[in-house]
Amino acid sequence: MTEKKLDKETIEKVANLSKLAVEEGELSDFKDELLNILDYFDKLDEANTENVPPTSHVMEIINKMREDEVEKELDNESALKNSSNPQEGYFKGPKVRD
Amino acid sequence: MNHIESILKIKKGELSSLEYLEKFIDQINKKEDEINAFITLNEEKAREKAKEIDKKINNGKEVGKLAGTPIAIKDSIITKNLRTTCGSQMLKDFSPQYDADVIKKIKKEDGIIIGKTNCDEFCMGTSTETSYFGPTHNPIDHEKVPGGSSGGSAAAIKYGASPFSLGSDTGGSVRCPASFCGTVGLKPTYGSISRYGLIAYASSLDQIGTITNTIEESAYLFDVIKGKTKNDSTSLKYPDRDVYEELDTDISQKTIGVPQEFFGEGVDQEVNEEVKKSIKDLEDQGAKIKSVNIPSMEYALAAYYLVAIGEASSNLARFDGVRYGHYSNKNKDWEDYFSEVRREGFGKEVKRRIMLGTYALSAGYYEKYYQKALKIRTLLKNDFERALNESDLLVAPTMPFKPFELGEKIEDPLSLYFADILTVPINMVGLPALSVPSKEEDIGIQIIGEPFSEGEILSTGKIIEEENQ
Repeated sequence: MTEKKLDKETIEKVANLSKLAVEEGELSDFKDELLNILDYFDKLDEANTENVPPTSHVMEIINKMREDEVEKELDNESALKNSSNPQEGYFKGPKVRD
Repeated sequence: MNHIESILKIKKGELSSLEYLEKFIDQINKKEDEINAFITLNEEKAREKAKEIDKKINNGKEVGKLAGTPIAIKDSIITKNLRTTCGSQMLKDFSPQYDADVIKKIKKEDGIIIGKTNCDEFCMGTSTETSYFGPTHNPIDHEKVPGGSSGGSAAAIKYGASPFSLGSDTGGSVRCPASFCGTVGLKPTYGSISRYGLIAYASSLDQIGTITNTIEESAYLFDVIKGKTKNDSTSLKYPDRDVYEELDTDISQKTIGVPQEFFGEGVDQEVNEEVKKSIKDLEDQGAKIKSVNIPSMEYALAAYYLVAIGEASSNLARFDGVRYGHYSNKNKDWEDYFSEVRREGFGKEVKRRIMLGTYALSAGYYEKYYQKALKIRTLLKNDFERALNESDLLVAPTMPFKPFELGEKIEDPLSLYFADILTVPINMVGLPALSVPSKEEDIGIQIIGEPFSEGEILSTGKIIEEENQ
């Protein structure tokens, strides 16, 4: 049943996997909307796909390899241009641990 | 007026590029406040560029195919040193360090970027209402939505803010606003235009396309931007020919397939009737009409959304507030920092799709949702192949209904998803498709063809266009 597959705990787990902080107040809204959409997706259960292979890419192309050559791309200053917190020529990320 | 003639006049020195540009800027000054088609305008740099081109022409130098003509660019396509937001707070101050491949091609041909057009946040929407920068209004009726997600591009063309525009189409985002705003929208064959520099939503479905007033302009602009590039390994070599030169309105040898499922439940009677009138016109011009079927159509919408949100949840993982984009000053650890930045920076629909996509790809559900959707994709591919073996091209409605009121559907996500029912199957199978206005301005006719048949579908669109003039 759909009720089971989307409890509060599952939503919190999905929010964590998605790296999206969800506030307590938003949880029930999300739950109702997501359930509604997931119910619609259940329609696919009706389709007979026995022995049908999946298609991830529609055009017939194969992996393309090229030489790994160094090209002139962004310089350091320009690469850091949009960063909120560049330091000594690097991006500074949030702390990993205390 | 056909804007290709204006380009030719500019090239001959009979019309100055600056003078031509000012006409569009005047129109923007008059109407932009009411329509909100643009997120960022580029008037000053556009004027400088126009003067440069006029100077070149006066000095007798060669100029490119777009010689001094303005182009409006959807804000999902990145432009060097010109703010690119993709309709999101996440990127509200983002100034790209490089140009998308299509922008390089446009600049090389002396096109002038007049501004960046409004769109649904990260192209996730059918009405341009999920934009952080507010909705765009439909120039035909200001109370109505312009369609989406490239609503700004279609509205800009309709109200005369630019002669040419680019959009991007993942599940109908070029064709839907083209249909709602009475313009011509081309979603080309998957891979025929480089996606390098198109902010990724669902990479196996995304394709850049054109929105213009006329078929000829669509063909002309498509020729400039098409073709394989080294930066997008999924881009394909386009057959060596100019689509513009290929336009031919003799349809007497063609068989038009009419896919019955595109006229079924959920499609308004008024829409059905308009499209059938145009099919009759094509028959009167000598085309043979044949009924065809896409049996797996009933599963297309659900399968499309699963593929799209699955890919989106992965593509949008890059927005972390470290290298670019919205950031937080709060001193939080790694996990909480990202979650906070993304909570603040993304709007509701984007969060919804990321969460759904993550859920559908998570352990235990992958087979049921994503894998199943990819199998439906195979069925759809087979269905379209069969239909296009039985006919030369398919003609159907673009949208199941006419433009709806602003605010009417935005609170009910699923009802908005249903608006995409006739456009998403085409992205699932990578075929080219066109939307051209019917006799009713805000009802579009969708023409679908085999891969690389842009010339053929545009030619058929031209017949409809001429009939309706």
